[in-house]
Amino acid sequence: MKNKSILELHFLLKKKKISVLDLSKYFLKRIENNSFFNCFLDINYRNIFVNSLKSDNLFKRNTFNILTGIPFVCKDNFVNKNFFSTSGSKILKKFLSPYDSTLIKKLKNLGAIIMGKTNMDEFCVGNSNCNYFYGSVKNSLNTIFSSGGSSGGSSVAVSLKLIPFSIGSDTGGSLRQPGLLNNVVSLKPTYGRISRYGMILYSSSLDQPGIISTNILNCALILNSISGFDLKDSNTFFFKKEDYTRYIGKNWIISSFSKKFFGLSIGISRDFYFFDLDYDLRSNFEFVLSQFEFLGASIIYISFNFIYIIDSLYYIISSSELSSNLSRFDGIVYGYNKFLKFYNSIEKYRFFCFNNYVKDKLYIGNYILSSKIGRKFFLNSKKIRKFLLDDFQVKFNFCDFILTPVIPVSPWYIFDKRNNFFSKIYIDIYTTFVNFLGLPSANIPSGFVIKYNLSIPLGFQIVGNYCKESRIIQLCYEFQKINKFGFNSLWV
Amino acid sequence: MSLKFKISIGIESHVRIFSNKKIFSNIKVFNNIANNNISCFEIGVPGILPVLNLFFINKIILLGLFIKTDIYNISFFLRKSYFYPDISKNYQITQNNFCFFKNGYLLIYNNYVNYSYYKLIYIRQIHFEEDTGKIIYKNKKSFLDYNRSGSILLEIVSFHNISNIYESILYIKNLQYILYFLNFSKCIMEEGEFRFDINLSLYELYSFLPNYKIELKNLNSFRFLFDIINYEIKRLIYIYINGGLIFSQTRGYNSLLNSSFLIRNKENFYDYKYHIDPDLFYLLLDKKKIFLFLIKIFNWFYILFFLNSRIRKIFFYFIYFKKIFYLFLILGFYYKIFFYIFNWFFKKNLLLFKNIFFKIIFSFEQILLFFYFYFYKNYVFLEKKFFFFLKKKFLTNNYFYKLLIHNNKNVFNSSYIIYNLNIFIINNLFFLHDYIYNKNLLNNMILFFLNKKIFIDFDLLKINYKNKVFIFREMDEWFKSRN
Repeated sequence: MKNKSILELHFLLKKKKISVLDLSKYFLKRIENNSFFNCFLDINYRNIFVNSLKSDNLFKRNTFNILTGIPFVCKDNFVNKNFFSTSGSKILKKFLSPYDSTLIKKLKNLGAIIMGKTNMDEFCVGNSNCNYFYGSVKNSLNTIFSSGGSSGGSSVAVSLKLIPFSIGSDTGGSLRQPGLLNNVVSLKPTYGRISRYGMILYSSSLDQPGIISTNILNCALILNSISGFDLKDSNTFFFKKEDYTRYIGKNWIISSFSKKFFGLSIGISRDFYFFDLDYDLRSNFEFVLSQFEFLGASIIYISFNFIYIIDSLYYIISSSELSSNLSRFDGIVYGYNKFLKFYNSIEKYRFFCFNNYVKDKLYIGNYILSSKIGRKFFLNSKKIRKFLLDDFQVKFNFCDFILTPVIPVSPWYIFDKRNNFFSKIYIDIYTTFVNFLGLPSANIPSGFVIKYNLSIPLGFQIVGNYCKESRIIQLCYEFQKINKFGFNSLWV
Repeated sequence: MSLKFKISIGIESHVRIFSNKKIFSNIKVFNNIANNNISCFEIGVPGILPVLNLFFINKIILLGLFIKTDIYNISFFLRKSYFYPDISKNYQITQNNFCFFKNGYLLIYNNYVNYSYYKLIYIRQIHFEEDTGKIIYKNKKSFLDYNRSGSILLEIVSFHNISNIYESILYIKNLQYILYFLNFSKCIMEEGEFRFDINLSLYELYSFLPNYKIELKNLNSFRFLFDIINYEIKRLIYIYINGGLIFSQTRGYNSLLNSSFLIRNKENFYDYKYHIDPDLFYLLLDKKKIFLFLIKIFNWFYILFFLNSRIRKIFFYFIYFKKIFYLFLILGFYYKIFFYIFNWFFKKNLLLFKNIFFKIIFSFEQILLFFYFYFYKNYVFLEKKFFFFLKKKFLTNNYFYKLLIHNNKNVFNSSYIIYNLNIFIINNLFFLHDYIYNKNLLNNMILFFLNKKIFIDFDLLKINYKNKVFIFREMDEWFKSRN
């Protein structure tokens, strides 16, 4: 049962071999048994019971969908009426919102069932899921390592097979990096595909919700249901609705009868090897390229501008937007305030309640926006962003996709001193430029390495042009079909 | 040796627009119990995003066309961040400096006895923003009412061109009249619908502007304005002569003592940390849309003022049946068809009509001017007795001056406000002059018309200003009766 994909589960439900309530009971039991990993913050049993009975009725009336009765899990920064939505912070402890986010509302209307909310970094800030208030999340494969990323809880839940799919959010690779460390597929669509209404904001020009699953086909099915125009979010696209699974199993040039990816060109730059990559990562990445060449793709070398600076530019923009977005948590409306005098109280409250990682970003963000010297950084980083938007469009004329590794180092321990160093400077280098430009991308697992009697997962990242998610899904599907490094036996 | 001083005043007026909607949320507004009309956006519930009501932009373009500003096609929103329980988000969304409208002007007429003059007051910009909540202090406790927050607030910033108390009063009066005329708001100061800040600085005659300026915030009535400026001038001269230091500061008004008190020293004490709001999109205006607006406005005016009373009734009758009213709008668009229908109405002056109609530019104000002339005659013709009566009584020069002298004591009452359409006509000379010879304003909508290469008859613009007043006499009387 646990290894089955969404379509397989759907056929079982359709033929009435299992009821929805039994299925949700099964997954709930698995969640309770694996509480050691600490990936869940809140589970509402009554809500699961009511919703599963409702979707059972839908099967009786023959008004079901593909997603009816299939359980899922959500990151804690998505707001919901029935669950506490804390976003991993002390301030929003036991916060019940008065409304639903559109992303959850769409899945609910189809009949999918929320099992709970998963653990994360405080306000999505941080690379290792070490939450000081709710406890850190352990890695699913090796419990010594950290689970990585801000949406670590939802990726661990998928890799332990507690749930078929889960939903997370991505600002600077916080969805792809834990996907790599826990050996699952994660997809981040273009900025504006999915509405951000009801997501507690980190930095609103970089943030985008995404999907985590073991299989890319699951991701495509869910993206069909989630994406679309939303009135309440003014940054969403108003496009015609498309089917993201339409290219699966087809050739790149559909009319040709030669190899699968004949005519496809993949871009690679020398700049990615500037940092001292691990030898294992490097050899694995070359192996991936040979796989694509085997399928008929041609490889092109490209050079990028500002690739070394982008990480620091990302840091400027994200921290400055975070400082304004988190300014509403001042203890007057959210969180109770012990300190009675007004002017002192905000300082004290914010000092005690935020994490140190968040506070570092708040200091820098306030400095950049306020002072005259700091403002230059902010404006120049915006200018370079505009320049890069034009520059990447030129690159995408020559190549269809760009392949990169996800992180330049091997996974790290939970209580390592490197943790502080890497989280700020070094580790985001390949993932941030995607969010910086709003491009779509996906993380695919591509093998294991055995080191010190530990099996360490490896993977790579695909970056496409705007609104080319369906082509990315085509690539990932063909790659996973040959190499079953992820959790295999999920093919329909 | 005698010192001579000069003051320069700039006014920044805040207007709350009369409407049932809020800017960034779809909730309707009624004045009820405290905290009754609140959406999630006003409390600042985490995860909620602002969505702009495009309804307001249609309305605001009207005002920009009336004050004759340069229209910028692009604008976007900024965040102005500061910690205060007025706003639960702790940042305010404004359109500061990146607004649609800049560089307009408004004309006033000041009548001193011996020296009466017209003056153009330069308006820097018009922008709108989110209104804040209300704090109520009771028994040493503070209560918050977010009922008002989120409703739209309009700011009109003038240049420091004003050099007198009377001019400042006239400027505000004229501005109030326009705002009432366009159904923006009733401008009742007691309820806080209209309030203004003043920036003042004093310096010697024939010298440059000083570095400092003094802000006077949240003024609610003309009497306060009259008193506080008089007090401030005396205070500044006293310091200037006795050799004190004058520094830039903000001041409040104490109505009991009739004096001002210091609030804070520096102007830039708070860093507001302006930056672009990434949740909202950029706004772009179409030229076509503005053109359609002009036609709508034209028709609206036409119905209100220039038609005869009989015909006016008919058109108002049309308004109730909306389809026919839209047909009327379309007729405005296809002006040739419009022209043939007018032949049917007025066959007498057809020759005059033809000759002028093909020469004049079809800008909004030009058309207004034309019809103003054209129907003015008919208007007199129909209500001849009334007009003759007025001319004999009021329009003779002697009486006109007597009236001024009689009210000499309070210049405020005697000051002669020029109402809306007169401003149009007078200003038109400056207006056209600027737009023809200024090549930098390519983006403007008037050049859109000028590209058709039609020239102007300047003879039409010679006008007796005195006669024009009495058409709007009804409106005048109403306006005076309120004060």
